[in-house]
Amino acid sequence: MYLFKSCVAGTFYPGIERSFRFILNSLNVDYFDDPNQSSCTGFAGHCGVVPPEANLSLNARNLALAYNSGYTNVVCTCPTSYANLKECIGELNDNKTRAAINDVLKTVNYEYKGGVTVYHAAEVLYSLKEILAERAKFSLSKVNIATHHGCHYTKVFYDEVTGGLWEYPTLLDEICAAFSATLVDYSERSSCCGLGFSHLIDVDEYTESTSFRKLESVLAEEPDLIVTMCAGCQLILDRFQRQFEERLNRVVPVLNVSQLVALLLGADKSRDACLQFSTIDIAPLIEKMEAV
Amino acid sequence: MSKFGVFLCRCDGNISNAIDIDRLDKDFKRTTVVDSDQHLCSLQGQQKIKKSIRKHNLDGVVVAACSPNNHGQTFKGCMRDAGLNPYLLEITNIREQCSWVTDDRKSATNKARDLINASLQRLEHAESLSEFRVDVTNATLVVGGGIAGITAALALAENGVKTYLVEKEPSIGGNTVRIGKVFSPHKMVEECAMCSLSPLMNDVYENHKIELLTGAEIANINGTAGHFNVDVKIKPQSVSERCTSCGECATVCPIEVPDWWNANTRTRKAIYKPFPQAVPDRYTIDAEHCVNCGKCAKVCKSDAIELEAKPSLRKIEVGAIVVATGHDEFDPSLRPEYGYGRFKDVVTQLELARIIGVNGPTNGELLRPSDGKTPKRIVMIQCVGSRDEKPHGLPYCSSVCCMVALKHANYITDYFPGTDITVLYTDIRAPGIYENYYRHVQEKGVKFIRGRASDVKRKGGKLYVSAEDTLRGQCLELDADLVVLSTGIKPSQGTVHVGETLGIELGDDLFVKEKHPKLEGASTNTKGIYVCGTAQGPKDITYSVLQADAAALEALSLVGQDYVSVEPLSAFVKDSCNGCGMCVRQCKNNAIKMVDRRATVDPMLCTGGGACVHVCPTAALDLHGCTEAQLEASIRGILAGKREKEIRNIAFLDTKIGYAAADNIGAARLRYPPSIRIISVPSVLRLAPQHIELAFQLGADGVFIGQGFEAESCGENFESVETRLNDLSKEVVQRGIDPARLKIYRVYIPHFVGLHKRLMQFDDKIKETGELEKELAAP
Ligand SMILES: Cc1cc2nc3c(=O)[nH]c(=O)nc-3n(C[C@H](O)[C@H](O)[C@H](O)COP(=O)(O)OP(=O)(O)OC[C@H]3O[C@@H](n4cnc5c(N)ncnc54)[C@H](O)[C@@H]3O)c2cc1C
Ligand code: SF4
Repeated sequence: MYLFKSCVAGTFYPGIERSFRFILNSLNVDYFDDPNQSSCTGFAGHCGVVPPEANLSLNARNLALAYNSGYTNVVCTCPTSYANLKECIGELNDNKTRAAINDVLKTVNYEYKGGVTVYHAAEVLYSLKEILAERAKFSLSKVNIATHHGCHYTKVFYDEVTGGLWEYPTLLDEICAAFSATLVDYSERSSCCGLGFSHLIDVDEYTESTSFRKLESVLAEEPDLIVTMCAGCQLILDRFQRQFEERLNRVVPVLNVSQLVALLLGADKSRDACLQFSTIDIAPLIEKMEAV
Repeated sequence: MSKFGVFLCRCDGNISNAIDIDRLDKDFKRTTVVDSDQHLCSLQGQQKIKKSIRKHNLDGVVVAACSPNNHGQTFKGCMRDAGLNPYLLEITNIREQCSWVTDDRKSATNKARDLINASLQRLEHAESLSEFRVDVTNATLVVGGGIAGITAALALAENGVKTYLVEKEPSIGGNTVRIGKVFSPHKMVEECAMCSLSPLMNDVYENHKIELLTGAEIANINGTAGHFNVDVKIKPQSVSERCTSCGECATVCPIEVPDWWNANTRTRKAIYKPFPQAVPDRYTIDAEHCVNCGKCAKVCKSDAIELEAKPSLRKIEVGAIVVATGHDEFDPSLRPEYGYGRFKDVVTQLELARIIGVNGPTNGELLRPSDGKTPKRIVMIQCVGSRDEKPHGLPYCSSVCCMVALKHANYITDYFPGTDITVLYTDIRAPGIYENYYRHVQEKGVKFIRGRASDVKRKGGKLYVSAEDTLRGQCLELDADLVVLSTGIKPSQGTVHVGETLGIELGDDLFVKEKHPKLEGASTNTKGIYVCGTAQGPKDITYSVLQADAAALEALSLVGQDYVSVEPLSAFVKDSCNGCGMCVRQCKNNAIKMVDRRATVDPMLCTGGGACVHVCPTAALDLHGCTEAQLEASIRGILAGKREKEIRNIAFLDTKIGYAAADNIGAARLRYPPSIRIISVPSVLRLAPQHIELAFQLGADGVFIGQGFEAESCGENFESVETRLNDLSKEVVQRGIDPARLKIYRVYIPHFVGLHKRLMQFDDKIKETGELEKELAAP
């Protein structure tokens, strides 16, 4: 497994990646942490700052690195990287595009040859959920969870969603259920968190109203936790939640699925899961996790 | 020297717009007799061919027109009429495989010329053949006992033909039983489905020409039009005819299961009678759920229950078959955004039909499932799964669901006044006089909003439907006490299963494909097998019944004949046979036997794939219709005149599936370069390493072999065909051919787009690799 690092996750919630490493290490999974990997520039691409050609060349290099390393299963902790890399692979399947990009890569002695597959970290946790649940030190049997899968995982490569269907994905739900959590449905389940990339920069009222609608509907069901698989969604749902605190009268903690699973396996709250980076206090949740 | 005629069809521009017919006319005039026509298949066109044959005393004919699958028989008829043996005809497919797939006129014209030349070369080796006669069995089989199957069976029996009606469920009736009320084009009120259906079901039971087999399915079939041998698998008949339908057994049965006949809106017991008017009129045991406790048998006063009953196999012989296996509903849980399964008050139209049906779970009261209250506001969502190109979706319009929504809206506003109904639609499809119905319902105050619902949500215990009103450009959120999904119609599992068992062609939507969408709408691509009702495509009862009558008429005209002719395209043995018996072991149809130490082929058992031809060490076997000489001539012809640096790839496709899929590529107007040249072979097993090698020697740069999925190949199953193809490719590679230049692909007719993609990829790859070097190709 080629661990594809995320700039948004690394900046705002380093616990996402650290938790994922903790999980992989505790299962003795062989993965490659490549110091040469660069950002996928997905965020900047969506905001129109990085041109598509640059995005494509740069990711062709990233994919070539993975191919050359022999670790051809690229696993992203960030769904924006996940969708961006998959889109790049699609474009590079076109012979002309591939030749043009390889001309560029030649100048830095790389060649894109294909042969790599891209996954999201949550898909890895999903496929290991039974094993992980067996090793869990804590249970979620007293915890009600609302999941948010996010647009870049469910709506870009919608026909490749693992667990459920793109309009009602159950990937995170099934992972949480493996640890005996109770899942709550809420009316805006498939809505965007409000991040909206360029929208966030251009028209913040729109993104704000979207986030509010989302959080309002989650809180109406009174869950103990929101679980996401995207650092961007987490940023909005966690950090921006404070903004709505007065209107909503309540707050709810937010965690990335990797952080949650690592905590359940006994990871350190600050060193591994880096809970100190969360805006909404996670302590009430921790209290509800029962030792097994 | 033989004298051949070439006839060019313009097909009213379908061919002549892309191919320069005048140019071809001139070119071929130098050597042969040539004529052209706007429509060679028309009477005038046929006359032209016949006159020319007689006038010029022709020895053979090439018709360059549409695919032989369309008018092959017509042109054979011309040959017969003009006194020429019909097997001295070659049809060159310059429409589906040339004019419709080629981009520029010059390439299309050149390709057409090459294809016609290849046909002329093949014609040099054509042989006169005579057809066999098969005595026709004056009996028919109808598969599926819905309204379509019932209608067809009655029409056949009333014309005196012994008819077997095979139904997989314990009663006939099909989906019409479940829909309760039916819309009617003339009146603005709904009629009772059972009132029209029940008398017909009783007629079936009473007609002594009909033998009804319920709990039965087709297990196997062989034979040809006029005489089919069919094996029917019958489930254990645990309740005998002695049953008086008293119902004691069901009261004591401890097992409850969802009741399909009530669209699972209520339960039934493991021993049950599907519905009061069921035919045959008796209880039945659902073996899947029965726990064999024996309670029912103990209370039965008529001693009608036999728990140990075994399944049986019935062998029947019929001359013609009508397929009427119907449809299933699209599974709404595949569109989870609408909350079906999550919210009790989201139901399908079929479930609503049961709720308002007087014999349904609420005895006809409009009560919603969650709390048994009467819904005041109902929102109906149209096109659920239909007209939907997303995964699992049905791309077509299911044609009846708009009318079904109108029917239910009309009925509810009549019987439960004050109910507020909104229909969210894509387009309302109420064709013909059904428009009156639409207008009538609008006048009654039912609201129609054009826009596809995006989702159904629950907030504060209430349901909300979000949609965009696309006419006003507004986003809406409608509250609803009950949401009704107009789910689409898809081919039933039984339809797909029967299609595969009978070997008839299914369309890419998996409905049974009709032979010609306009002219032969009740025939399938297999002679002697006909289709009607929703097995062929979504339609209402009116059209299902009309098509059933048409199918019955076709079947009648076949079984009314004394005999039918069968094409003599079987293997034959030449004098050099030394009696070694290799071919006998090869033939999985047991068509070859040793008689006096010499192989003899039974032409009625031989399916004409030709797998045996090259197992013969003395080359004593050959195949009528595709002899060694004819096959070689085709390869030679199609590669003749190859220019410097030109790439040519041969695609060998089996006639029944691969070639038909290639025709579909043309019909869909997908494009491919003229470097791809198709040769039809009865089965890919007809091909031997020397044919592939010959192709490369004569200048082919790549060879593509497309074998039809499930295609009949000398009685061999797909796995063994695949093994044989792998062996073939290994041998070709051993003879020094680059494996990259040979591609084997499994063709599935409904997925002709896949064949197109593979052909394009292959062609691209060969073009990238470049022309096959001469030295390599040299013999
Ligand atoms: C909700 C709904 C409401 C409708 N309302 C109306 C209406 O008001 N008016 C109208 O005109 N039309 C209506 N229709 C359409 C109508 O239901 C169909 O036109 C009609 O049922 C088609 O009849 P059929 O006999 O072709 O198929 P079906 O009714 O589907 O019958 C097929 C039969 O074949 C049997 N079968 C299947 N596979 C096998 C097998 N392998 N071997 C043996 N038997 C098999 C099945 O058990 C079944 O008995 C409605 C459709 C729906 C979905
Ligand atoms: S009939 Fe109406 S509801 Fe059904 S698929 Fe066609 S347009 Fe949609």
